[in-house]
Amino acid sequence: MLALLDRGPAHGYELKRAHDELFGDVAPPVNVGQIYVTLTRLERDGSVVHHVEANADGPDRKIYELTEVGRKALRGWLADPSELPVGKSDIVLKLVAGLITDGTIAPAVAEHRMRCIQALRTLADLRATKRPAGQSRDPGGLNEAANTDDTRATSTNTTGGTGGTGGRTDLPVGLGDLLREASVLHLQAELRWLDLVEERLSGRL
Amino acid sequence: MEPKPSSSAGTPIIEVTGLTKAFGRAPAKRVALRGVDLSVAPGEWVAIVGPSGCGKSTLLHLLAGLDTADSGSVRLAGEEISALSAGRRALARRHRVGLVFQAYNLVPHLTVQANVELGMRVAGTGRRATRARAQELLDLLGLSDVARALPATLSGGQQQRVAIARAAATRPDVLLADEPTGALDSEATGTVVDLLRTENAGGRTVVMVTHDYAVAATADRIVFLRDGKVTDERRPRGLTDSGGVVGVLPGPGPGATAAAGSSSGDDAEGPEPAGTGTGDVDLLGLGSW
Repeated sequence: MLALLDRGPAHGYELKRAHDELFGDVAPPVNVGQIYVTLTRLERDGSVVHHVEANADGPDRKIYELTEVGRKALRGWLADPSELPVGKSDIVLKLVAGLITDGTIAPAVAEHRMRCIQALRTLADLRATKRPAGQSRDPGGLNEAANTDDTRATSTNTTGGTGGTGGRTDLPVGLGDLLREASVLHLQAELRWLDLVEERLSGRL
Repeated sequence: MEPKPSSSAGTPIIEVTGLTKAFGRAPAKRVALRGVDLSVAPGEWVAIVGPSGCGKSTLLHLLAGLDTADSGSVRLAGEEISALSAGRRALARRHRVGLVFQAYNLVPHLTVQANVELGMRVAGTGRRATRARAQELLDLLGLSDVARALPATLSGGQQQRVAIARAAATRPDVLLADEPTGALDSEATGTVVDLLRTENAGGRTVVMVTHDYAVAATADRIVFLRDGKVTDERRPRGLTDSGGVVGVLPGPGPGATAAAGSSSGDDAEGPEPAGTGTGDVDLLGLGSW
C-alpha cells in the first residue's frame, strides 16, 4: 500500500484496483473495506494524510498521499528481512493434528493435492492466454488471448475512477510471469512433499 | 475452447485391461504393473503421474507395443496388440503411434529435417510429400532456420520440438510421450507443453508420463499410478473464468476468508465494515499495509 501511494496520491478504490491488477492472478481481490481500515491506521501512524476532493458524479472522495514518515516506513520495510516460506502451513498443522489425534487425514491430503493441481492448471491456462500474441502459433491460442484482453478492457472501463496516479499500474514487462512462476514453484514443491508424506506414512494416514 | 469429444464418446482409442508386468526372476523379481485398467477416448489428453518406479514408463512402453505384458490386454483402436508378433507390433505402432522420449532420441548424424522425415520414410510416404510435410512442421515450430543443423547444436527445448515434429509427422492417432519435459528448464517446458496442447487441440490423442505436476495439470485427465496400480483418477479444471487462482488458492489466513465473505454484502466505503475481523491478521499478506 505504501509502495502504491509512493507512486502518487490515490483514493481507496484506486488502491484496491491497483492491488488487484498486480496480484489478480495469484491472490484473491482485496476487500475495499480493508483498504480503508488500513488507510485509517496508516493515517493514525502519520504515514499518510488525506484531503477531501469534491466529486460531481457522487460522494466526495478522500485522496490519500504518502508523508515523509510513510516513505521512511516503506524504505524500512523494504530493507527488513523477508519471511521464509517454511514452517507451519495449514496442511502441515492438519497432518500433525491428524497424527497425534488418530484422526484420518488421508482425504485431506488427497483433496489438498487436487487443489494444488487445479491451481497449477489455472496458472498454466493464464500463462497460455497471456502469452504475447507473436509467440502463439495456433489460432485457438490467439483467440483466447484476444478474449482475455476484451475482458480486461471491459472491467477497467466499468470501474472507472480518476483523481490520483497511485491507482495506475504500468506493469514492468514479465512481472506477471514472475508472480505466477513463484506460485507454480511453491505448488510443485508442496506436491512433492505430499508425495513424500504419502510414501513415508502410507497406512498411517 | 474445447471442441474435443468427451471421454464417453465413441469407442476408446486405447483400452488396457488387467495389465501385469514383472522384470527379472524369483529372488530379484520386480513387479512393475499389478493389474492396470485404463481407457482413453479419442482426442483425450491423459497424464500418468506417480513416483519413480511406480510402473508408469513400463505402462507407456506396453501401450507403444515396445514390450509385451505378462498378462492382460492392450487394444489400440480396437486391435489387440499384445497378441501380435514383434514385427506386427512395429507395424501397428508405425501407423497409429508417435513416440516422444525424455532424451529426445534424435538420430545424431542426421539433420533436423532428416530426423523429422525419418518416420515418414519408414512408413513409405512419397519423397515430395515427405519433404513438404517436414517443412510445414518446421515452419510451424519456428525451426526452419535450423533445418540443416545437427541435433546436438540445438537447445534441449528445440530438440524436443524436433522429436515431437517427427512423432507427429505421420499424423498418428496417438502421441505417447515419456517424460517429455524431464530434461528441460521451465521455459522450454512451457513451449513443449504448448506444442503438445496444440497437437491435442487438433484432435490427436496424447498420453504422457510425467513426474511434473505442473505439466500433468494441463491434461484433461490425470491418472495416478502407485506400486503398479492405478490409485486415483482426476480431471483438473482451471478457474480462469473467475480471474486468477482466486477460487483455488486459499487466502493468507482466516481473515481473508472473512474479508471475502463480507465484500459481497457491503461494497461501500467506510472505515469499519461490520463483521470484518481485523485483529492481527496481515490483511494482504504484504506485511506493511
